[in-house]
Amino acid sequence: MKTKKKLKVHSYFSNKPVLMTGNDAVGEAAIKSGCRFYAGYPITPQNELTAYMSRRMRDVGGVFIQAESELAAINMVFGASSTGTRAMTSSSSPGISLKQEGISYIAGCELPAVIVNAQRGGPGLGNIGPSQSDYFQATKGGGHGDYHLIVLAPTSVEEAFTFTVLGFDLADYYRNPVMILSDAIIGQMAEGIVFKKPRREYPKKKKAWALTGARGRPQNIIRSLYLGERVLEKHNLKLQEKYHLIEKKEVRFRQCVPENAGLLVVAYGSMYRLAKDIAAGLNNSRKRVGLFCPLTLWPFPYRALEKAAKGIKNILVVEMSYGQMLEDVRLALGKDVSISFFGRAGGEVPEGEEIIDYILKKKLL
Amino acid sequence: MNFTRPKYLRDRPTHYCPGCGHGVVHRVIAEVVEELGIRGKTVGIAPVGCAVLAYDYWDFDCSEAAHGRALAVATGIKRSRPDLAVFSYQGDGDLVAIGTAETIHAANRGENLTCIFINNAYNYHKPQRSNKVKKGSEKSFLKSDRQKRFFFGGSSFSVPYRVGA
Repeated sequence: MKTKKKLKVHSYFSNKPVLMTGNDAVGEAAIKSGCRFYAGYPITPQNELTAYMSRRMRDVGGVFIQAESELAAINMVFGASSTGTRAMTSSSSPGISLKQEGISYIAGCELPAVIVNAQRGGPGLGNIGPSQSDYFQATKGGGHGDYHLIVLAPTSVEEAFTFTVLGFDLADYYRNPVMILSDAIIGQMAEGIVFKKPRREYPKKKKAWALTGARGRPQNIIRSLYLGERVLEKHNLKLQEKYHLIEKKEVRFRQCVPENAGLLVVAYGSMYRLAKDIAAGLNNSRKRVGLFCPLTLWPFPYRALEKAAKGIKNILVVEMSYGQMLEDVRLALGKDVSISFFGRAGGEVPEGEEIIDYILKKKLL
Repeated sequence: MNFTRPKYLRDRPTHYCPGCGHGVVHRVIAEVVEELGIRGKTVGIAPVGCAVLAYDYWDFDCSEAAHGRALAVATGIKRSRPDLAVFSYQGDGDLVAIGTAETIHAANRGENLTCIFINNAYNYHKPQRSNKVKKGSEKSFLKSDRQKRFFFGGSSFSVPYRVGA
């Protein structure tokens, strides 16, 4: 007798801890968030995610396509998203560069989508080591036109999970693409995580704009072309209004600033973990080390950083790049504050000890 | 026999040049959608070029696509909603020049889509050739602006009013 194949729609969220890599955690979060369309193209160091989605999409009856290129993948996500389906694609730095045109179209057409970038060394083909050199690309545009992605930067495997769940909610709520900006470290390291059910802050909206066939309703059009005088300007102003709202409501950060802090280390993503080690390593000195970690890179927590840095003599920005987030830190703090920078890139990860040496040599503490 | 506007073709002035065949193909598509009674499950994908505004003429759900990527967008739509009838409408610059990969791979995957190919040789950018223009053809045409317009405006379509250029 033919039995209907039972789909494994998993015990949704549970308190049982599992060991998982960051890439897999993003995939599982997508599945649990109701993502039912994934298109991607292999690239190290995010291949585990593509592989994970190919398995899990089959379990839950979703669609997995290994596209012919990154260009096709992002445009398939565009198509899937335009029907109201939750859709995701992922890649690493060179592949994300290829997707930029599609991302600009998704932003212009106000479609929700989640794009994962497990950053690797650049420019060009670079290498497959971890890097944070795509900060500018992710937060300042990347593609053409005045648009913004909501950029979430997880600092752990657990956050890779929760931020992806959050990313799908934010994307749907604001009708805006969301980027999960991880790197080869976050993507490939394994940590124990618990699939905690997140607090749902965003009410589900009916996607009345979606292309579902115009049965008994007027036609829906997904478009970013606006000819005619002032029509495109009007569309842009509408987008800007949305971006201002996001800047007002969605700033996220983490800080730990002791009262007698003499140095504030600003770092995001995997470098925040290193910054934590540095703070612990310098715990014996008379002055303490404060930590500030932006969790949303766009919108950047300018005001919160300004507040956290108040009264602290030295600021140190640590990045796996040659000073990209540094520019936003400078914008937040102005010229009067002394800001030092320590960065390594090209797939190299700074050692905690060399940063401590740098701090002591420069007498930052 | 009455010659009337199809139900799902909007009543609005055309933006196409005199002699252009897009309007006729738009009409034929609107007629087909009406005949098959599939307005409620049709999604069209407009190309990049003059015909991107096709969605302003048709009265059913439509999407835009980046240049050459219409079949990738169509794949995304059709795979997430297999009950919809999805078609793309693409010119040669779109489907053949920039979008060769998407076209071949959509066919290779056996996607259940309709692709309408309007082979009209870079109508919008008049002095340009596409990959589909025959070698040497430019020598016999294009002596004057008027001839250029005539050639690129209507030669691909056998439509009665193409002389209008």
